[in-house]
Amino acid sequence: MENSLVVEGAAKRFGGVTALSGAGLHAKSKEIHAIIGPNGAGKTTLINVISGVYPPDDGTVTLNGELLNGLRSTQIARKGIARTFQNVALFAGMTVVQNMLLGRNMLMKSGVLSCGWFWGAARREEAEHRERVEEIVDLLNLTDIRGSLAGSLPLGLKKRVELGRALAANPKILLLDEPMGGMNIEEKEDMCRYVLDVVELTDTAVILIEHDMGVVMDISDYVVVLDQGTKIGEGTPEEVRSNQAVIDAYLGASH
Amino acid sequence: MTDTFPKLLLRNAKEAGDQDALREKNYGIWRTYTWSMYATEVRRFALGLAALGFERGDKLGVIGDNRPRMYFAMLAAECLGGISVAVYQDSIASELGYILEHADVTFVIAENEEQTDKLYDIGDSLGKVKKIIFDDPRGLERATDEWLIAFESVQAKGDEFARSNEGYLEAEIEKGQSSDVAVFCYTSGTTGDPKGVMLTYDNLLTGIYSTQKAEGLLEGDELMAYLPMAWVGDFWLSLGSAVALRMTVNCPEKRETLNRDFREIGPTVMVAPPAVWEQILTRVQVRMEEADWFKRGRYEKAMAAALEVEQLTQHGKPIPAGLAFRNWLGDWLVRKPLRDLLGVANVRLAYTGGAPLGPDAFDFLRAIGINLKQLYGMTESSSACVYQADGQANTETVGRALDITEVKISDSGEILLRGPMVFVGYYKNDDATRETIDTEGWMATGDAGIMTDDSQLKVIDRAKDVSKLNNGTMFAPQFLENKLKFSPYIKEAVCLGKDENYVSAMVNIDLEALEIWAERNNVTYSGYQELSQKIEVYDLINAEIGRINADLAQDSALEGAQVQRFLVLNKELDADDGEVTRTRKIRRSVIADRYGQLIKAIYENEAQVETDIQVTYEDGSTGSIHADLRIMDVSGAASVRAAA
Repeated sequence: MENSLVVEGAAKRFGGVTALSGAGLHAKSKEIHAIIGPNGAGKTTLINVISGVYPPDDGTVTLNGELLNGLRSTQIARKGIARTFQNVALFAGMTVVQNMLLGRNMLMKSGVLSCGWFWGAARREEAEHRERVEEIVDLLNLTDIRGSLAGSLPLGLKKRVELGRALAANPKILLLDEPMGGMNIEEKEDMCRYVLDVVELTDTAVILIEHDMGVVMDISDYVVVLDQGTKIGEGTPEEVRSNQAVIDAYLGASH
Repeated sequence: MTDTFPKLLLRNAKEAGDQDALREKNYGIWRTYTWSMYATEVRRFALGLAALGFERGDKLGVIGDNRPRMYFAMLAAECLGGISVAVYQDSIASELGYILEHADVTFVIAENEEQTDKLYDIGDSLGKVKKIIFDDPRGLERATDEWLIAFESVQAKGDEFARSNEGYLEAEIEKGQSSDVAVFCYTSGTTGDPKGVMLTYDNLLTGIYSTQKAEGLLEGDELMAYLPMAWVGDFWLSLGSAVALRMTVNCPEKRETLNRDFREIGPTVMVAPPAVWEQILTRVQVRMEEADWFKRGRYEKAMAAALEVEQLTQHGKPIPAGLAFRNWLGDWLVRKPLRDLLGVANVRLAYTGGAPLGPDAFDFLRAIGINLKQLYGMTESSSACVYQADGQANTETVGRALDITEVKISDSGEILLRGPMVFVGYYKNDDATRETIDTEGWMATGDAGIMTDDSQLKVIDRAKDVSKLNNGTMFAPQFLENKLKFSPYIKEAVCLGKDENYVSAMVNIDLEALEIWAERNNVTYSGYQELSQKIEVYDLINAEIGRINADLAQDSALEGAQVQRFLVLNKELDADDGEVTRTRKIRRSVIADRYGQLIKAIYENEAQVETDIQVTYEDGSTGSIHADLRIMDVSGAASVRAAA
């Protein structure tokens, strides 16, 4: 199944601050799109708009032809968009597997009562969900910390678990907000491998915010560059690397 | 006897088809194969191998962690009259290449991409290998090379082959004789290139049945398959005795989940090399140091009582009622829960072998309540052939020979063995075979030993390592090294002293234990190397060695062997660098060579020495580490040195 997310002319203002103006992107299945830009460029704002944390003041967000503007984030999640957070938002007191099972919450049909008593249908459902979560645990090499409390894990592993939780929802679109933040080279290589595995094995489109240029150049198919809320460049990694406006924005220029 | 493992497997499928044979933990759950499922998997794979051209006498290379399919493959090869050759999974490409080439291997089963990558690295020198079969497809989905084939594809070929070759497999299995060679086990070899020990079904089965009688192995016993498949012990236990005696084998999920998997299964019989036992001990010691005063107090009292009981029992003395009660209480409150935590709550028989285990470690583990006993044997004797019986566990000896084994001590003090379990020869190395087995069937073990008055065997050390210090004191390096390794802070040690005036030691710190110690004592460091050279760490090790010296001073024969000087190495001794074998036995000649400079500096009374050591990284590439190493005198030992 081919998925596609189209964002056109998205704009967001917070009082007098224009966080985002006229930003857009078009991501398709099995593609990795990177959003880069200096701090405060509006990258996380764009992701928040897509995932419905707040609606855009202008512009449209369309998933597989369906308009997402104005929908609540829970509804948008149900449509098949999953995300991770810059500062990790796991439930610290729950285990790795429990956190990941939560990612499948929207796919669970059994009601409160049948889950509470753990009757037939709820049991079967739980087994199915658990099996899927175990597949992801295996993919992300989390087997030995399966039962550990999420709060006790080092940052690198927490980020991996968050990725696992997002994957557990079988998302059509995966939004990753700085998934490599705070990791050393080996950990980054592992994360890249997992992201690449995901696009290889599923029809997911991945949109990722990243500061590590090495990672961006290595794994993304397409790059969008934001600065001060507007798109100042886009294209393949090579095109963007030699774009003068991008270079100025990152290194600063006395214009 | 016409028994072979394939025939015994068929018997199991017929007589006990629904009994649990093999379990594997995958995706969080234990999945079980019954004997009939086991036999079916083996049959399908064997026919697949036949379809690919595997012939009687062919060798199957096996490389990977303990997984059901690896065992199925080994048995499948045996069904067709073939021989399995397992290699240590952490071998580097060149070691792997040597063995596969030397053994004339024509088919290889590799667990996963990590192993197939190594095979591709060797590439050209594996000219005889027709196919590489892989188990875990991760990373190999897009492999189109003709050389590679998936396990399931082989089984599919087997199904096809079966359609036009009715009864083929049964006929092949019938042809098997107990005098056929079942496996080549390459010995890690502390000197020279590895040699291929050829073991027949007879060799293995005589040992297995005799051990069953002597030790009481039972049908349905639970075993954990976690030791390298290349080690003769695992072949003997997880394949040989499991099939012959119908015991259940459990394959853990991953190396990292081993402890939890142990707990979940609760094996009844456990075999492990000293390194594993020492690790268990370190875990307990380190954790107890972290415990609060109440828990630590109860633990120390319980262990003190238990150790006292252990000492009395070993010397055959009666136990006073008061002590017996305290011990019972200690067992109920502390030791039983501790055993449960370690996963050894159901262990009826526990063995240590392959290398000597320090007496202090041995006693302590027995005091925790593990029925730990020594065993002795080697690859050339089809694994263990000397056991300590229940109630006869002690640290001085390694036990009595099985009923099929004869033991005698040669004039030069070397242990010799004879019996049906002695190997039939080294593959393509008749000279070495002749040197090892004499015309009357006595096999030289290379170990120095003595027989005690009650016909128990006592092993001293590797015959060629036993020497003397210049002051006449006998110097048995392994004995001293084991004493040093009892300290939770010392992971590995090499003792030197041959032709010198005194004993010195080069040690590896135990990083796990030291990390915790450093945190508690506010010692900062930026890595293993820096930590190893910290003066605080040296002082700590100094104290540890001091304690061991005090122990040695108690025995007049060992007084002169106290360690006088030591240094801490800035890198761990590693099999990849050839410093230890894959089973972690010290290779003294390699160490003397690589660390010659350090040894010289120690004996020239230097306070420090500069080194430049070549290392081999996991991917086979090399580099060098430069460092300044401190050398320290052991406090309180100066007097012995001056007297020498």
